[in-house]
Formats: sequence, C-alpha cells, structure tokens
Amino acid sequence: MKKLALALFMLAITLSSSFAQVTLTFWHSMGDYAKLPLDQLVAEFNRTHPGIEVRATFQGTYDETVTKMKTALLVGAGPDLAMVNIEHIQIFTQDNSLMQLDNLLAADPELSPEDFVEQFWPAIIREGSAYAIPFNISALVLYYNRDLFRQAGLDPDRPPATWDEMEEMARALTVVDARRGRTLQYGLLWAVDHMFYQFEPLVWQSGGDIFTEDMSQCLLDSEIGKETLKRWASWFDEGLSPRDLTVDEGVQSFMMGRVAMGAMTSGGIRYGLENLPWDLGVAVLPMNKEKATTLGGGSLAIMNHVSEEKREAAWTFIRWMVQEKNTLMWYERTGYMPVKKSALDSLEIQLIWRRFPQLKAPIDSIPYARPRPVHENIIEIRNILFNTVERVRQGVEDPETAFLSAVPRVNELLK
Amino acid sequence: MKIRMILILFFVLLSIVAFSEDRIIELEVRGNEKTKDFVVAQLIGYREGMVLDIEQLYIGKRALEDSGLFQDVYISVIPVGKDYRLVVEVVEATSIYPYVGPFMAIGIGDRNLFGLGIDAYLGLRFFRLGDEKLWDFLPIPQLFWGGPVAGIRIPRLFGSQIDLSVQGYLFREVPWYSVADFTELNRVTLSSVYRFETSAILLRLLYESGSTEFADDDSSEAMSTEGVLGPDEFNNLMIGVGYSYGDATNYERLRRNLYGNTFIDLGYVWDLPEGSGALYSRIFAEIGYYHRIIAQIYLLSETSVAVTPFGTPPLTQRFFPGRDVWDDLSFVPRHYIEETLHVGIPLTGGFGLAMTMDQAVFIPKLYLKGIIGDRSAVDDRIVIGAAIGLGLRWNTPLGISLEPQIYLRERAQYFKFNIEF
Repeated sequence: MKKLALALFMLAITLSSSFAQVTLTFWHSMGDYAKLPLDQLVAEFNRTHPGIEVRATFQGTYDETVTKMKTALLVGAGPDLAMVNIEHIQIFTQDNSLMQLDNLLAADPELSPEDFVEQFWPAIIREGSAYAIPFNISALVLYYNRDLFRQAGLDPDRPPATWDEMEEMARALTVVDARRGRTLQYGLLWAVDHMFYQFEPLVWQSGGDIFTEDMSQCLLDSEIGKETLKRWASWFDEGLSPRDLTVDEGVQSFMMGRVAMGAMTSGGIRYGLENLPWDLGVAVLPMNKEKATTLGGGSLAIMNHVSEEKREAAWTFIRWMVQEKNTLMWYERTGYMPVKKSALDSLEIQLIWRRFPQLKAPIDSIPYARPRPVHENIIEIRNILFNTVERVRQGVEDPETAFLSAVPRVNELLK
Repeated sequence: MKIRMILILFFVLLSIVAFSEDRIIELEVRGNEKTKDFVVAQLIGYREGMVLDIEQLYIGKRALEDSGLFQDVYISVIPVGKDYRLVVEVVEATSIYPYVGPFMAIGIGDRNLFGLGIDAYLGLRFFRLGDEKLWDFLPIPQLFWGGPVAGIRIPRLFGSQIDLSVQGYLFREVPWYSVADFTELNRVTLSSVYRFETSAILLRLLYESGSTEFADDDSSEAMSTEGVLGPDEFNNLMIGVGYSYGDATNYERLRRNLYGNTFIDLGYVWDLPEGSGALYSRIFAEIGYYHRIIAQIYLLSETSVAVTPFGTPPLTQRFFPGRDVWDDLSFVPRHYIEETLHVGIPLTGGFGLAMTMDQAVFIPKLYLKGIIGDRSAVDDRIVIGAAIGLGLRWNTPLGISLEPQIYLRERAQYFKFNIEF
C-alpha cells in the first residue's frame, strides 16, 4: 500500500512538473496602434511555446514605465522582462535592476551581436556590456503631405534633400491669409519635445556634436551649435513653422492637413498610412553639411531578480521576438525598423516596400543613424536643453547666447 | 560585313543581359503538412529558371495569402551557385469551414480538399422561415426538405492563371421574393476566371430548369397571365462574359479604392407554354468606391446599373434591385440604376475610434439608398424610390459579424438582419 502511495505521489510530481508552465510578466510602452501587432506576436509566441506564458501589459509612455518600474522594483513587484527605452537603460543598469546579457549571448549559438544592425547594437551597450536586445528601434524621418505638395505645384516624389530645399519648399507650402494676417497652412513642423529628440540630428547634420565622446562635456556652445540654433529659430521667425504650437498640437495640425511636412518618428508610419485623410510621403531627413538622423525607441531587457527558470524563458522569448520573420512583421505593422541584418537583406523586406513604399525611408536612414546620447542624468540634461530651445522658439531668448548659459549647467550634471 | 559584326555584337550583348539576370532554379516549401508542394508552386507562379522579379513574387505572395489556405506566408531566397532557391514557409489555416449557400442551404466545405488546394462544399436546405410569425413580426423556423447543393473551385488550374468553378443544386420549394414559389429549381453553373494584374475576365455557362407557382394575389396573377414574369415551366441556357477590376474583397486595404464588375449575358429559354424558344440578353454592372475619410471613418458608394436589351429572361434572371428594401412588386424592371451610400464609424470594443479595421468591434452606419427604374412587370411607368437607414455592425469574437438594420422609406419601414461569416 505504501509502495502504491509512493508511486502515485511520484507520478503526480512527474506530471505536475511536465505540465509546469513558466509565466513571464512583460511590461511595455506600446499603446493604441502598436499594441495590436505586439499582442499578436506575444499570442503567437505563447501558442508555439507551450511551456511558457508571456503576459504583456501596457504601462504607459516610456517615461511613465520608468516611474512605474522604479516603484515596483523597490517593493519587489516588478516585471520579469520589460521594453525599456534605449536612453533609459542607464537608469536601470545603475541600480543593478537589469540583467547583463553577455553570458546568455555567448552561450547562445543562434544569436550573436553580429546578427544585429551595426548602428543599433551600441544603443544597448553600457560600459561594454549588453543590457537589452534591440527590438522597437525607430529613426527620425521626414513625413510630408503629398496632396499639399501637389497643390503647391511641387513634385510629391521629390521631397527635400537639403535644408535649403526644405526651406524653399516650406515657403511654397506656407499659405497666409494676407487680409487677416493669419497663417492658414504651415510649410514645416520642426518642434522639439522634452526628449530633445528632434534637435539632435540638426546639430549632427551641421557637422557638430552635442557632447564629447566620453560624455564629459556639452559642445552646444560651439559655433556650430549656435548656428544650428539660429537656423532652426529662423524657421519660426519666418513663419514657416508654427511658433505657438507644442509638438503634440503641431502633429495634430499636420494630421489635419494644416502643416505640410515635419520630422517625426518612423514608429508611426503605418499608423499614418491607415489613419490620415491624405496621401502620406516619408523621406530621409534633409541634410545640411552631412546626413544624419537619431535613433529612438526601445529594447527588450530581463530583470536581474528573476529565477534561472524565468531567465531561460525570457531569453527564449527575446530570441524569438527578434527572429528575422518576427522583426519584419513588427516593422511592416508599425514602422519600427527590423533589427537583424538578415532582415534588411531579405526578399520579404522588398515585398513590404512594394506594398508600403513609405517604409523604405527609415531603412535608407540607417547608414546615417546615430544612437541617442546616454548618461545617468540624461533626463535632467534633456530638460535644460529643451527649456533653452523652447525659450528661443518663443522668442524670449536670443539664439546667439542661449546655449552659453545652458551649457555650464549641463556640464555640471555631466561631471 | 559591317551589318554582320553589328548583329554579332548585338546578340553577344543580348545574351550577356539575358543571362546576367538572377534566376530561381529551385522551390522549397516548408511548414505544409496537408497542402501539396505543387499547390504552393502554382499559387506563387513558380517556374524553374524564372527571373527573380519582385513584382511577380509580390503578386504570388498575395495569391498565397488570399487563397485562404494559409494564415501566414513568409518567402525568402537562398543562393545556389549563381542562382537562387525560393523558400516558401507557410502556416496552414484550418481548411474546414461552415458553408452557407443559396436559399439558406447549410453545410460544410473544405478549402483544401486532399491538400490539392481545391475548395469543395456540400450543403442541404432543411431549414426555412415560415409564414407564421411570433409576436406578428418574428418568423418561426421550420424544418423541411429543400434539396442539396454542391460545388468545387479549383484555383490556378494546371498552373495557369485560370480559376475554375462548378456549382450545382437540385432545389425544391424555393421562394422567389413575394412574387412566386419554385416547386423545383435545378441549376448547374460552370465558370472560369482569368486574372491579370488587378483585373479579371470571367466566363460562365449556366443551365437551369424550373417550375413556378406564382403568388396567389391580384398583381402577381395579372403579371403571370400577361407573361411579364416569364413562363411557368422553363429550361434556360445562358452564357455570359464578365470583366472585373480592383479588389472588391479587400477594398478597405487602400485609402481610396475603386472596384467593380460588368457582365453581359445571352440566354435562350425554351419549353415555353407556347412551345417555342426565345433569346434574351441582359447587361449588369456594379461600381464600388471606398474612401477612408479620416482614421477608419469611411464612405462607401455602391452603384448598380442594369439593362435588358432584348427578350424576356426567365424569373431567375430578372432583376430584383434593392431586394429587401424596395417592395418586390414595385420594380421588377428591365432597366434600372440604384445607388447605396453609407458612412461607417469603426469603433473599438471600448467605443473609442478604431485605429485599424482589425480593432473595429462596432461600426454604426448610416445608409442612403436611391433607385430609378421602370415597372415593366406591371406597367410602363418610371418609378423612383428612396430610403434612409441605420445599421450597427458587431464583429463578434467568433469571427461572425451581425448587423441589424432599419430603413425608413415612403410611408413604411423595413427591418433587416445581416449575418456575415
């Protein structure tokens, strides 16, 4: 009898372990439009991996996710894996919240840093180690309204390639009601948000840099920084770009056909194609002295506190998410770029371009793309720089001197 | 001599250009458990030695996706020497489906019979809505024997661009609007579609025979006596040619989408009461225009035009425009134009604006309908009709869409319920 009971007990243990499922909580910042394809990817992963269940939950914007994760990790209630904005990685590596992935990468015969697009990989490296895997990487590209181009007598297949052309076209696209002195349509939207995201490529395109390579000094008080700020401010002074609209209001105006072109993230291309009431064109950002764009978006990271079992499951999930096929599906449905080199060389990407030619522009931007500067105090630094250019945009500070007062404060934070 | 040299040079250059193109010399199909490899090859248009042409492969991939055989298709190429192997990875979809056919025939179908990519179905009519009504408006379902229907569709016949389909049924007790009942209605239809780019040419051959009992009311009786609805007993052989353009199935994929089709039919009806046969012809055209206004809010215009150049088609081939919204007996025209315009606002499950049609759970709709046609079945007057309607489509999680509609027309209202699988 005892033997039978023992046998039954052993059988129960065996059965329960064979049916055991690892459940992973996955926090992300893909709301609204991008949530649907992300949920589909997660559902497909769960379907094809019976031993693992990923529970994906939207946690708000990248910044909101940072706040929530910080709080949750403090009380030991954080996720098992998370989508972390590439410039926020530093915040979590500092307090040791993110798992260093070097060992997992080294032990994985199917995944290596060489598989990833060269320009994307440095975005997730901190002090020589990988702390996340690139997934939803975007580039700043030029969106333009092809209908308004046609109305202004411009060729919609020939978007501006240089700043000079962009200014010239913006003049042709700006419509002013002379009688009332009101601008009915703006030619250009180049507002800068609190992330300072849209200003970075302007400096690079002018041949300058924002920080030294070792992030010890801000270089915006240079002649190039000053000239870039003056040129940018002139777009508002001339009335080509709306001075009184925030970035969000500007984007809304662009969507309503009141602004003809603007620099925006590639992550919204498919949203634009499916929701805008006019023909959308997308192009590589116009160059000044050189071509450049900024990389943004997020990556997938594993939390340091997870068990070995969860770590293996999370790694399986990440590896699956960045497979050529899945990264291309994500690209086609959103505009975030495929992260594998093989995906860029694939036949499938050419079929995607045949269907959605607008999705080609971010890929064409990759050779000129740079990751965003990172630092433990990056949020405060961005705020100083954003407030500086904001005051210039509102006309309350002179672009000649604006960076002169901001840079010393930034340098203090860089120390 | 000079001409010879030029010719040699020309052919050398031509061969360099011809042989420098990338070619696909092998096809590998992965992930197919049921579907035969040759079905995938036919759908993607693979031929050994074909040029690696993105446009061709794009069309082929769309054909695979639209075949309904697969839920996912991924294609890639692997270098083989100087040439390429085309790799098609598929995830097969469930091929068995519930079949809903003409006159409420219900049955089962298999889109991928024996893995050959052939769509075959079989349905039976055993259920109908009777004349008796619950609470004076809800028809009570009845069981009866109404006959079988069966059909097959073979896409890309023998690797060509031709889709072939055959359908046959042997029905009895078929109601024909409020005009008549067929005690028997048998039909076999053979049709073939040849596709090229975004257009298609359709050929169809139809044979049918029927026995009619006209409704027992004054106007139907008058019409049947005068012969305007055609003979009681008939055989009908009809041949038709059609042309269609645009993507009527996936019209929501583009922001602006124009699609339509036109048919010209020539028929011969015999076994008339008079004992002789008669020729007839009919022309029918439909034009659809979809315009996404903003977000997923759209305007859809559907226009139908019909002309009967000569002869009297049998009852089965007469026009009954507007179907349920117009009174059946008001029209039965030889010629008409009908326009249906509707605006839809796709909403998510939480009643927010949907950002993609995949997110649309509820779609409130406003319908406007208008028609102008003759009343040849009764007299020679021209009749104009108009109706305004409201609908609410619900895309259920089961993949079935339900849409109750209510129409207001002159001194009357009409309630309609659409079910879409």
